[in-house]
Amino acid sequence: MTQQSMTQQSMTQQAATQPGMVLAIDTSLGTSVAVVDGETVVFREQAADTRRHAEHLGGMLERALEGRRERIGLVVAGMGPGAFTGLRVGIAAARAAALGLGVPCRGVASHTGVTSGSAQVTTDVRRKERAWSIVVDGLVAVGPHLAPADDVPPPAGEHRGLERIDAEAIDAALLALAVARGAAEVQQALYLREADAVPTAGPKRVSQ
Amino acid sequence: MSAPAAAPVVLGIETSCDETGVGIVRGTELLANRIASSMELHARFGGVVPEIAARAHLEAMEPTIRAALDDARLTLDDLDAVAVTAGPGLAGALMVGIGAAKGLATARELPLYGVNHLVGHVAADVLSGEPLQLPTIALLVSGGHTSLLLVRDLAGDVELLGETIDDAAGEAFDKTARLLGLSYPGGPSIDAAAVGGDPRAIAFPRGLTAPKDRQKHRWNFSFSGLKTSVARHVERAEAAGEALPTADVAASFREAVVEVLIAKALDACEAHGIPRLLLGGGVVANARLREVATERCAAAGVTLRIPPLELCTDNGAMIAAVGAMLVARGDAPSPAGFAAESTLEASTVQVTQ
Repeated sequence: MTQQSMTQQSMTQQAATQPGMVLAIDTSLGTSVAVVDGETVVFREQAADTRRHAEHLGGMLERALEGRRERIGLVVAGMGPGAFTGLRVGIAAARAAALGLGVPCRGVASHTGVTSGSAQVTTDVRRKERAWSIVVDGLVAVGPHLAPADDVPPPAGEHRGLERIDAEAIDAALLALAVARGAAEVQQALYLREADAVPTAGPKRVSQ
Repeated sequence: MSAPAAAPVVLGIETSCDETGVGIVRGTELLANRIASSMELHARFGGVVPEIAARAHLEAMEPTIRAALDDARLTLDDLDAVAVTAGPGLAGALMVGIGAAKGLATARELPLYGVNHLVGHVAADVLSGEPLQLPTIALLVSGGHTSLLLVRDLAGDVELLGETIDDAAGEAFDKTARLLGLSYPGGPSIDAAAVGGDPRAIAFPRGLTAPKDRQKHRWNFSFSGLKTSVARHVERAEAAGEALPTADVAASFREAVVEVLIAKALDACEAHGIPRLLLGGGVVANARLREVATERCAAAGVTLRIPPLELCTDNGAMIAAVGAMLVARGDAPSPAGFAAESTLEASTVQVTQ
């Protein structure tokens, strides 16, 4: 229970100062699992497949944790944005793995897993839309927001002229490194859309 | 009663529909059965919305695991294995449970078993304290399933005799409740509306019971025609400007569902020479179903088993029970790459690829 009651500040300190390794998981696009020790990436596997996250994740987690279970001090989850069904697999696995390892779980925006530099990052979220964020020095400064796939607004104001990266994959190792640099905690999945559901307007007529 | 000390302690995770269930068993002994339901979130939609259910599973999962461990007064160190529903069910909902199960099992280096939800409903009975008598006919009725099974061996010989070809029985209750202007879920609201009603007032159709259906659909079910028939009845009353006899309609509808369910289940018992019937699934909460099952089984000389209600509705303990059985038999765990299988056949107790 202790990790649940820990404050955000103390978790950040722990993430930054504890000499443990960080396990990071992201399933917002493909499936990405990494283990980072300080600044060093000691394990990294990615599957570009934007489906079958639950299948890929099993083996990747086994290989990531083999011989490292005792040394993991934090689990990081990519919280999206991304296609909902796949996104949830990684978050559920990250939270449960943290529970199993007895360490905290910290969610961060998946767009921090695209670059450690500065860019406008966009990712496909299906339905002819893209999610975009302004990433500065590897941390999300603006967003994520949704936009029509062919009409993502160009970076404005102080971010004008920033390079745009249409990311095809998220690197979980970058998520782990972003946490060490103080990436903002994201506690809930970044769905950006309400669940599809319309209250019924009443029963349809069946008589001719 | 207590199981032998060597009986495996298994944590089971169930997320096939709108209930986040986490249960813990030691062999056939129930240690914890925690359920977080998203039912009220679906009420204004008149039925389970898969995306809403999946979102709720994600938020409920970790607290429910912790609560189950607390209830059982156990820590993760006490677990011997993890089991999770691999299917059948809503794909997006199943995947939350599978993701969590893989995360937990891998972190703890525990064997993980991806198991069948329907077999779980039958296995629930082993937790009721009395040994399950086999072979048995099992009737599973819920919002998502209406299945008639012949169970010779829980861990390896489960045959699907028949299932619904359209709506599940629970779904028929929900949809009919909506037609009658009653609240969701339909089971309890139709039960309440049926009080004082005459179950013989309206001769609603009994789906797939005509002689011509016997060849192909002897143990299959159909409830969509029944629902349409109720809709016609409601519309006719409206058109004629008559007040709808809601109690009679509700009672007659419920009787039609219950009669078909029990008649087909007892026919299966007779045809296979098996004098045992086990009920499972959330619709077992319906008092009239239990009443008619009790009467007809007694008359037919069939022994009726109904697990406690909290083990009839979707729950993690029944999944843990299947897992414990597989562990006790020495079966290998499911491979790391196993998937959610939303249409998993009843004959597949455990996913092995």
